[in-house]
Amino acid sequence: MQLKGSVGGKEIGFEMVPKQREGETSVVVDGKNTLIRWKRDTQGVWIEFPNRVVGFDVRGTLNDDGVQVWTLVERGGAGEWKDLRFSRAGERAVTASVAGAKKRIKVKSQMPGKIIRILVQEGDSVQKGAPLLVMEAMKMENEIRATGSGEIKKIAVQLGQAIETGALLMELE
Amino acid sequence: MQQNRGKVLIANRGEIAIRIARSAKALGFGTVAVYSDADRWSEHAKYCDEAYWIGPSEPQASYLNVEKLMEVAKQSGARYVHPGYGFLSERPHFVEAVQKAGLVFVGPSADNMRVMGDKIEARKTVDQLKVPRVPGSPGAVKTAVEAQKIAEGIEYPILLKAAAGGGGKGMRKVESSAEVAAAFESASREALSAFGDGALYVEKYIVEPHHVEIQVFGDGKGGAIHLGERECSIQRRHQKVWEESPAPILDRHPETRAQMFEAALRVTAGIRYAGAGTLEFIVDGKGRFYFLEMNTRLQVEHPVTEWVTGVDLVAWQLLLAEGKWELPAIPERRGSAVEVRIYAEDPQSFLPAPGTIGDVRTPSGPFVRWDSSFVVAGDVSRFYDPMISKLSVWAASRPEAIGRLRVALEEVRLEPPLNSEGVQQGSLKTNLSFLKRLAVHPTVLGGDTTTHLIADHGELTEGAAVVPSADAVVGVALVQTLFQMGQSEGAANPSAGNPSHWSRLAREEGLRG
Repeated sequence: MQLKGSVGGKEIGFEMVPKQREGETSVVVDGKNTLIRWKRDTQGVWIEFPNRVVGFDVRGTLNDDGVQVWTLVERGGAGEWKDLRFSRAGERAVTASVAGAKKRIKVKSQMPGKIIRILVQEGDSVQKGAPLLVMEAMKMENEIRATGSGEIKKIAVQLGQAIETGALLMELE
Repeated sequence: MQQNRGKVLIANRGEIAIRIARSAKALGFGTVAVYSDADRWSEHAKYCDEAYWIGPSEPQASYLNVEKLMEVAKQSGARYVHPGYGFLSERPHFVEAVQKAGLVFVGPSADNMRVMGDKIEARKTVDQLKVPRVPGSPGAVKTAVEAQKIAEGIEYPILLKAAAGGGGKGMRKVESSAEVAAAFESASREALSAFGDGALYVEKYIVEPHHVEIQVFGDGKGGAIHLGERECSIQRRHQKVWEESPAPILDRHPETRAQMFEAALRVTAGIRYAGAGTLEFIVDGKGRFYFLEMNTRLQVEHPVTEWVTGVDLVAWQLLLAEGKWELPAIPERRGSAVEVRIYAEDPQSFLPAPGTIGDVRTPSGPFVRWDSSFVVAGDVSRFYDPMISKLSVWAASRPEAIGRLRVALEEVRLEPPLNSEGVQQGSLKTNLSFLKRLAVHPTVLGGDTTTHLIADHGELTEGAAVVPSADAVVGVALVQTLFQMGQSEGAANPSAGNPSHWSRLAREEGLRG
C-alpha cells in the first residue's frame, strides 16, 4: 500500500498513489480488496468498480479551522455527504483548537443583503436558535439566528450595512 | 421563419419568458425579448427572434419600467404583450398602457385585475357571489390595535397578510394578542418594500390547511371553463415547492371538489374574466373550503395542469388575444402530475443562495418536463427570484408519478464551478437535496400533506450525512489526492504534483467543454 488513511473513521488503502487524471489501482476498503479505475473531471470523479460505475460531484470548502473538507454528491443518485476529509496515515492533526477549549462560533451571512435590525449586544448570552439580527434580502426580512449557544463576543456589522454572502456577522463563544 | 401572426413582446425573463416564446414560436408568432444588465447573456434573450436591452438590473429600472417596455414594443413593432407572472402581470396600469398604445395585452382586462387583484376587493366580490371565504377583516387594517380587535372576534391564531401581493411577503402568523404589535410592524414594512403598499388584512388561521387552487379560463364575455385543480400544500416560507394534480385532499372529499369547481366557474363567469386565471382556496382536514384569492395571470405551476389536460395554456392565451379562441367543453383530466421547484437556496434554511452554476445536467425520459432559464453554466442572479427550474412529471397514478419524479431528480446536476484545487467558487446552493427527500418521504407519499409539513418534519431539513458510504470513502480519498496533488505532503512524484500542471489540465478540460 503506497497510500493509507481514513475517511470518516473508515480506513482505506491504495496500492498506488493516484496522480493522473485517469488511472487504475486496487484499493482496500471495509477489509475488501477491489480493483478500480478512475476518471477525474473538473467537477469530480467517476469510479469504475467491478460491478458498477459510480460518479461524485465534489465541492471543497474551508471549515472554520481553515482545513479543506469535501461535500460529495452522488451522480445519478440520492447520496450526499458533507465535511469529509481524507486523513492520511501519519498526518499531523490539523485542528487548531485544544481539546476541551471552547470553540469560537462564527455566524456568517448566507446571502447578500442589508442589516436592518441588530437584536443583541456584545456580552449578551444567547441560546442556539436565538435571533441575532434581521437582514433585508430579496425584498423580504430574514431573521439570522445563532448557530450555537454562547456569549456574543463580537458584532462585526453595523446597522444599514450592505453585506455579501459569507460575510462575518457575529462571533460567539 | 414564418411570422405572419404578428410579434409578441414578452415582458418578463427567465424560464417563463422561454416558455411563452416556445408556444408563440410554434404558432407562428414572432417573439421579442427584453433583458436587463444582469440578463445580458441569458437564455431568454438568446431564445427570442429579437431582444432589446431595457436597463439596469434592479426590476424597478427594467422589468417594471412600463415606459421602457412600451418603447421596445414600439421599436419592435410588437402587436401583443405577454406579461408572464410576477412583475407587471397583475398591474391594471400596465394593461392600460398597452391598450393605449394600440396593442393587445395577453391576459385579463384591467377591470378583471381591479376586481380580483386587490385582495380586499376580491373578498367583497366573492361574498356577493356567495363563495365561502376565510373569516377575517372586511378590509385593510391600519393599526395593530385594529388588528387585535378583529382577531378577538375570529379567535387566534390569526394571519396578517399583505393586501397588495403574495408569495408570503408581508405575511405573519400571530398566536396571541401579545405578538400582534411587533408582527404588524414587521409585516407592514415588508409589504411596503415588496409591493409599494404596507396595507394588511387579518384572516383566521386554518388548522390542517391544504392549499388547493382551481385553474380557470374565461372568454371575457361571461363564458368560463375550469381545467381541474392543483394542490400546493407543501410550502416553505409561504412559497410553493411541490404542486400536483389531482389534489389528494379532494380525492378524499370528492363532493368538495364538485363544489369548488362550481364556485370557481361562478366567479370566473360572474366577473366576465378573460384568459387564464387561478382561484386559490384553503381546504381543511374535513373538506371545508374557503376562498383565499384569485390570481389574474398564468401561474408558475401551470405545467401540472397542462400535463393532466393536454392543454397548452399559453397557446390558449395567445389565441384568445388574437380573437380566435372559442369556449370548449371542460377538458377531461387524466393521470397524475407533480411539479417541484428547484431554487438557488440553502436546503436547510431556505435562505436564497444565488451564485454561479458551473455544470448543468437536465433530466429527461418519458413524461418528464424541465422548464428552466439555464441550459448551460450561468449566474443565478441576486436581483431576481432565485428559481433555477421547474421539474414536472406525469404518470397514470400518483405513486408512479412520484417514482418518476424521484428518478428525474437524481438525474439533475447543478454544481458550482471549482478551482483547480477543487474548492467551490461562488456561493451557489440549491434545494435539490431537500426535494429528493420530499420525493421519498412517507407523509408525502401518503398524500396527506398540509402547509405544516416542513415544520412538522425536521428530518427534511437535516444537514447532509457525515458518515460516508464505502464508495464515498473511495471518492473522497481519490478526489482529495487528485485535486490537491500540489499540496499533498510526501507526494511520490513532485513534478507530477505541480499545481500549474493541474491548472493547465483544468483549463484544457474547460476548453473541451
